[in-house]
Amino acid sequence: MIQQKDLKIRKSDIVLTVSIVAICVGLAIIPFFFSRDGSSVSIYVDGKLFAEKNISENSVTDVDGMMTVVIENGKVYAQNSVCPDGVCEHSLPITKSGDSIICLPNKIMIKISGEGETDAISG
Amino acid sequence: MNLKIRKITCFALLLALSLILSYIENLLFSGISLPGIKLGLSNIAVVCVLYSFGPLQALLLGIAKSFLSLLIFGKLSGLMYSVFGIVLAVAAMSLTKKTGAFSLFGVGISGAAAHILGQLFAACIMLSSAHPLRLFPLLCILSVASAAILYFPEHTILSFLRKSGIVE
Repeated sequence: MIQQKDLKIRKSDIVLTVSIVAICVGLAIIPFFFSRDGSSVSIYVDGKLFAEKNISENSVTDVDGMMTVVIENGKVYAQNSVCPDGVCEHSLPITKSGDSIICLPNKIMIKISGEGETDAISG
Repeated sequence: MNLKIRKITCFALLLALSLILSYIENLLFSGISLPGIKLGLSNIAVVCVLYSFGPLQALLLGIAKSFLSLLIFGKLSGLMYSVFGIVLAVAAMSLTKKTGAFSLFGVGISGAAAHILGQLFAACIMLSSAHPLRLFPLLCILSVASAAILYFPEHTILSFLRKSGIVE
């Protein structure tokens, strides 16, 4: 049932791999061309809206004691998460509309939405 | 009859292998464990069963592994991710294998991409939002890379199984 020819890498495998990687790179790059500064930061817990903040005002929000969301000079990041993974803490601060930080263990999602007011001026 | 017992034993051994591999992986990478960013060592067993037994058995092994690792690690939230991931991965791998155009390497790669897609679908359902899909490009590249690494141990195990005559 297992055949030797099935075990050796073929040309088609390389083509498949390269095309999957190329598609991923494409999908990752495209949003950069369309990204805009956001205006509001929404925090969802378990799919429900927990809080909405203005991105231009610095603030520190406690999310049900599970983590702290910090907004600082237009940058949003998570701190003091109770989950052991800490993926959300290690993710880079988000700044653009559509960006998000997702904490799967606590089912928390932080999302930037809306278009920034400075968009037309600063591009 | 003898052959049947051999098959059952081989399947059970691969299931045990997949569990101990998840355990070892948990020990090694406990610091960074977003579903997806890991080597997925236990997928070696799934791929080996797919080649030596068939798609149904691979699916069975994957689901059995998900439930048994729930008993080991006790993370209920992980169950949905792994079941979704494994179902999509086995489906994709069976299809790519059936075309006959790809070898073990290509089959593993397609499985990795489908696996991460399945896990993100599970995340979408749990968060009731399509947002997790935005992580797909990055996670997909990472899991394709780990699938490429896993090709080598898979190749070794399957070559051994082929020569040993445990599976015809």
